[in-house]
Amino acid sequence: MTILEAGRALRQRKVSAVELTSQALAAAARANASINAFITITEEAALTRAAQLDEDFARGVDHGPLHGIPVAHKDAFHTKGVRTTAGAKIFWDYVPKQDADLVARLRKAGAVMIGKTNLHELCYGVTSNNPHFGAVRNPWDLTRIPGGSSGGSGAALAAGVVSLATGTDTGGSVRIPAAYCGVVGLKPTINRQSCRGVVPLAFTLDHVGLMARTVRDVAIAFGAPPPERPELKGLRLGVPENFFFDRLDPEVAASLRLGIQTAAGLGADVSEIRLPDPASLNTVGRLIQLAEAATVWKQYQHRRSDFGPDVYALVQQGLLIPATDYLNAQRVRQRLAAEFVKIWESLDCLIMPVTAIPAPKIGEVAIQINGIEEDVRAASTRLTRPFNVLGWPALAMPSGFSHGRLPIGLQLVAPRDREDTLFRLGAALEDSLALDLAVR
Amino acid sequence: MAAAIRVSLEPRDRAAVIEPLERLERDFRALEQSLSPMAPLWVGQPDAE
Repeated sequence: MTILEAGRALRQRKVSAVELTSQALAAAARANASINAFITITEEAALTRAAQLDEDFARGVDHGPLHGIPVAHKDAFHTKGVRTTAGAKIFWDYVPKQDADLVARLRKAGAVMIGKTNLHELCYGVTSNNPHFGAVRNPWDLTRIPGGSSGGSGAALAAGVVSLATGTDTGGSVRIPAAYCGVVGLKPTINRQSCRGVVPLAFTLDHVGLMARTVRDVAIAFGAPPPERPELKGLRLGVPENFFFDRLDPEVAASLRLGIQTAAGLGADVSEIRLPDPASLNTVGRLIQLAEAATVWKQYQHRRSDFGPDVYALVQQGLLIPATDYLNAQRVRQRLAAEFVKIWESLDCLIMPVTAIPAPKIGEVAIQINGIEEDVRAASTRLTRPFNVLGWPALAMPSGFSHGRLPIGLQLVAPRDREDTLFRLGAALEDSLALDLAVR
Repeated sequence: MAAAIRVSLEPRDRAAVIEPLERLERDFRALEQSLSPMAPLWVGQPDAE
């Protein structure tokens, strides 16, 4: 059930918050044995909270569209009184005293937390193959990764456990699992959602995001009105002619072509655009992320055996970056951003793939794309990271499937603070594509 | 400090730490060289005036 459907059923008294929560808890227990999406399930607290919400409802108190909706929080969000590990051994027993801002906002809006989702250690990677809490598995194919770092959130949504989950996105960590799991993920404009109470990775690249099974549900969780009958006539949609369509798995490319044709068929004014230099955004983004993440985790570097080898190596790389390189990367970032922002003079939105490939196998380090070998991390992040560097809002949503029935995602990008454009276009595409996204 | 860390790296870390960093450094140098000495430092939103 989507958030919209559950909300309708709740208001028609066809279901209660306790029933919605019990269903989600049962589904979590069932699914976790195979997909390992949850580190913690908060059964007792969830049922108590749901009962309270039912009492509120009986007294005429409606907390809004998220009233009684079960939510799963990535285990990087501080949750008052509930262990928050960030997927790391160093936080094995850490219990925060306060909720993160987003957790508090969703709670105030009536959402019911049912648990904390598994993730790539310290949000620092794309596989969610966690060395301490076990690998998260993709519900579409249990031998494959769900993407990361918000992999547990993506897997829990795809498995139908919840209709709302949270994530964080520093280089693509909401959008990549959304693409690999066939769900929707929003990375809002930088700083539009507070990062307070979220375990940091890179201070100037971190974004807090929302994940759901439909575009309209993401809009609702973001606090925006869900588009009813979205109209695309006059929407100026840009298709990048450089970088974003290079070196794609042929099935990803075909799926994107269909998405673009669909948008054009719905009335969008589609044109090709040459972007200034996306590869440079990735270079400065990686350098900034390495340095900032090393700043965060330097204090634990003496505990080598408590880190997974990939995360430890990244922290060590960051420690070797001179301060001058970091500062110059920020200066280059500003220069690039000033060039990129000009594209919005002639466009309202961009469309492109989320990842170059569908979900790889668990343990796969490199992958062949059109006969050329590429690192899985690069193939997963090279199309998402540029928008962390620019801080623009980006939405990942399903566009189709591979022949092996693995989901493929498309990415919509809008100017700063224009999440409404993403919801409008995303909802129109979702209605028109009408994909069957049930895992069987 | 970087030199001290480099020295402390075990041989097994060379491939995992130094080599990817050297590749990134090569890509970054060209960008850095194109930067005007008067270019400001980003302090707010990346594309803010």
